[in-house]
Amino acid sequence: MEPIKIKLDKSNELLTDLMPRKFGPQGRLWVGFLLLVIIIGAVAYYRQLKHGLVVTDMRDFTSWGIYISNFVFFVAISLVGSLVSAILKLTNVAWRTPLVRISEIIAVAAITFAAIIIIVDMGRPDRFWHLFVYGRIQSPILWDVIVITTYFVVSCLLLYIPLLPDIAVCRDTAPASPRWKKRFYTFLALNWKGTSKQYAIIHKSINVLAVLVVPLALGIHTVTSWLFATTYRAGWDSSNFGPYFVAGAFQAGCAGVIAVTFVLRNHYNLRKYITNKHFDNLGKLLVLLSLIYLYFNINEYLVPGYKMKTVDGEHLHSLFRGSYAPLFWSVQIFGMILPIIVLLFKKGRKPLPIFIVSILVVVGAWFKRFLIVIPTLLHPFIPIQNVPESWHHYVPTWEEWAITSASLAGALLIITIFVRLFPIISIWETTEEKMNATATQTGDQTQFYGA
Amino acid sequence: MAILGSFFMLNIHNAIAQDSTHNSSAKIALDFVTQDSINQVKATVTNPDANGKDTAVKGADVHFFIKKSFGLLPIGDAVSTDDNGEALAEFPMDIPGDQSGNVTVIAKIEDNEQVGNLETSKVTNWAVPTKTDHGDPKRALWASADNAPIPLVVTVTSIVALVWGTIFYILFQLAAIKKAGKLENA
Repeated sequence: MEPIKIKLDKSNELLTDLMPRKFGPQGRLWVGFLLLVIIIGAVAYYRQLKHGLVVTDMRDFTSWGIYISNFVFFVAISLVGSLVSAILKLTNVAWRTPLVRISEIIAVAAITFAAIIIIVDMGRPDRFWHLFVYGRIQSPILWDVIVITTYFVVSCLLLYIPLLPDIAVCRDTAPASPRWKKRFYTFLALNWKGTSKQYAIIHKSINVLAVLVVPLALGIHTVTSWLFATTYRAGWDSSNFGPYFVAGAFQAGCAGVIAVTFVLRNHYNLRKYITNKHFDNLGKLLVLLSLIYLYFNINEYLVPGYKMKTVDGEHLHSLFRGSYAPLFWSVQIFGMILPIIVLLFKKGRKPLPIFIVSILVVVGAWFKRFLIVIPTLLHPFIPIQNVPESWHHYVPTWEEWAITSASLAGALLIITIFVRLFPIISIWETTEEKMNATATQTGDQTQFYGA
Repeated sequence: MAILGSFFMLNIHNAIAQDSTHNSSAKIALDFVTQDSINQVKATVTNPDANGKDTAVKGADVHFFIKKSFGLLPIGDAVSTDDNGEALAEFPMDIPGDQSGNVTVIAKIEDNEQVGNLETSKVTNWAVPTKTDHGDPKRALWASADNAPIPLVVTVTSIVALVWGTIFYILFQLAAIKKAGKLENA
């Protein structure tokens, strides 16, 4: 395999455009804001550790609150890694290159906090290791633990391996960097020299991981859906749940990558690399995924709604016309119907409109998970008499909101720090694309990798 | 004999009554009696007279309960004591007890003009013994971890081995990248 030649001097505009930059005032303000949210969340979690889960509004009926709905949201968002870096790669979609790393870091950040939020939900987090030691292989909870751990490792590898040549560029083009940073890049670069053999290995590894991550990604969300679908509870007792969750995850993940891409493109002035065409294509992808998700929603609500079995009927009434109706219809309309309508038009797929639509989809996706988890729990399968009034309602406490907000801020902080340390668009893959598009000038005396 | 063809057996259990009488002088005692194959709980309420001799308390309403894990299960309605100060309630045949069939029976008198509040409890082995299943040897989805169905164990283990085998292969590839870089340096 031909090595990819990356010029390491200032004449290479890819370096000037794509190398990580120090935070400006806006960046520092943003990091400060995220840290503040995380600190407030840490204080709330300290209170939860000290007093127990009683500081939440979770009681006997609602034993899973916004922690678990937030967990399902994070798992959904993490699916974007496999969508862009694997599915679009295996289907030879050329325009995906500048989006791959953004998608992968979103996936890693999301799956990291999906795992963390599960521990937060535990009344006795010190017993987390019991899951591995005493877990029953018959339980979907153990399957979820296995698949999340595996997906986390594979996502990290999918982020790290294609990053190697760019880490080496960071190592060799930042002589003025602090010593720790030099060492950091040197350690991570794994002696990368850009030889043909090294490139052959990473190409092969990326291909293997791309094939591996697709069933794994489908598995992680399907198994998460089974946490619900393997029970008899109204709203969860559905054979439709696996594909329904996967479809929703693809939609939420795609919207997530659009939103983050828009912000990074504007902040780092990456218009040359992430063009309107990218947003147009992502918009078409999002409308397709939204239509698929709409199809599953119709199945999920219309069919039980047609039958209105006793317990299902009670649950559906609370969604369609009851206390959850405003939230339910807002999610359906603003998180799904409106995006489909807007994105069907070319003007709707321009960067700003599609960014706004994506934010709506992401916010809708979070509340959608809330609607999947909470109302079902408030309708126990076996009616229980004379229960305290508080069990019939679930209003998250400030501790729950603070911890949940901190987890979202934590995921955004991971992305922010990553962008500060590494090129968010792959320099070597962009170079490779250029090499493929135009003949490479071989007589250049500039220092190359693999030359 | 008052009842033809019947026998009367007074079955005094060895268990010691735990008297928690609120009235310092009045007493309530519990006995378990079997008459005509019917198990009965008998409460005897007495109050000492001026000479200190126990006399029967008539017309006091006694409530009988069985202690359960999270509360008290009433045995019928309240029964008034007779001239002998005795109140009898039929003990149900289908009450689940512990592994030996033991349950705690409680007799209570509340707000009585003569004796105030009285309560006592006593253990009997008349309940149905609860058999605890210490592990179903059959392999099933609902069995213990050790008895998981073999096809499930094989399937999950195979998938995990296949995926993690591939992950370790990739990790070896990372080592190969590092080695290739070292050779280039040399």
